[in-house]
Amino acid sequence: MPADARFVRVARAAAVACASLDDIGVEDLADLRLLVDEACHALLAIGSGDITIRMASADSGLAVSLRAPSGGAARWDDRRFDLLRTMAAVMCERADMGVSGATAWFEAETRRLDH
Amino acid sequence: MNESRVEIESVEEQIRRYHRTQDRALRNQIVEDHRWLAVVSARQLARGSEPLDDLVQVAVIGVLKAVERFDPDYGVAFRTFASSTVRGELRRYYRDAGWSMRVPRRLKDLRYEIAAAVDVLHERLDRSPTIAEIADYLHLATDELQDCIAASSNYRTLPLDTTVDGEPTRSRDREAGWEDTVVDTMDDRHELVRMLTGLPERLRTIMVLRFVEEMNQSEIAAVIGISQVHVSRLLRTALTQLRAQAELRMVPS
Repeated sequence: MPADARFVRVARAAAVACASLDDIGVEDLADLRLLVDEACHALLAIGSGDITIRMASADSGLAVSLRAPSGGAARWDDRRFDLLRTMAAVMCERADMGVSGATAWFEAETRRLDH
Repeated sequence: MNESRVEIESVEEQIRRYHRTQDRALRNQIVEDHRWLAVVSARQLARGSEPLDDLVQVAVIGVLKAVERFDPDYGVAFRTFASSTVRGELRRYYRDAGWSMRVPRRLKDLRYEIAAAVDVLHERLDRSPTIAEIADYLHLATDELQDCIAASSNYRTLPLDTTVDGEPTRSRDREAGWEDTVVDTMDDRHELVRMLTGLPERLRTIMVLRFVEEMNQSEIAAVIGISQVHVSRLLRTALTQLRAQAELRMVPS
């Protein structure tokens, strides 16, 4: 995804489209949309280049990973990204974020519906 | 004799009979019997600038559509189904001008049908329905439904200083009561709550219920008396506003 906020819409639509192929309730889809939106904006704020978004099938549901050049930041600013952290904790089965070398990353796994 | 049978027939049975016979007089009677629902919904969603009569007209069309589409076998009361259809019809009337990009009419229509379907299916399944289940219910291909979901992200977001989210709800008084209770009982030291102070009261409440109380969207919807789809939209508005506020704070550096 180009480092341009106008493309966030494309990223979240793609994530939701992928997830909706799986057995995921609409409410979790709505959550995923909010989360991808927030994570993309966070990476646009701290990153300094294109964002790479990957989606893969995981045990619990859909695994979403976002990566961008960290632009020299050594870590995510806790205060600034507290909301993203909280959202991920509430919405996902598993989520983590950090900076490795020159890459800032965010990873989350959604919950598949249990019938 | 026949008359007494008609008298004890429930509206669900009447609709079943209408679908079988296509008797327009019967349909009109059912619509007329539920005109009160149109009036109530129109009053609840009235915004001041629109004449109430016009809104009632729109709402009556919603009742009519509900009679046409209602499936008595789904186990949801007609009244429940009709009120979500009527609200959808009114919202569409209000929102036609609110799209930031031209979206094909069919997709716009679908959006509201989806919202109504989500409500009905949620009640029926006692959980959030999947895309496949909604597609099945609306007799749509999953692809078509996905296109609609993608198009629905083209809604214009509200300006920063908007204090009302753009959609009136059923009971403002009831909501205001909730806002007071929830916000007063929150621990002020909670970092998230501190961040939310710049938000309008209503958005803050929904954010707190979702991310501090960890209620899911449909629980919040039930508590506040709006649809889950609306809760989702309000969460998005809140997040957009918070980001805009954060960006404003960043400007000097």
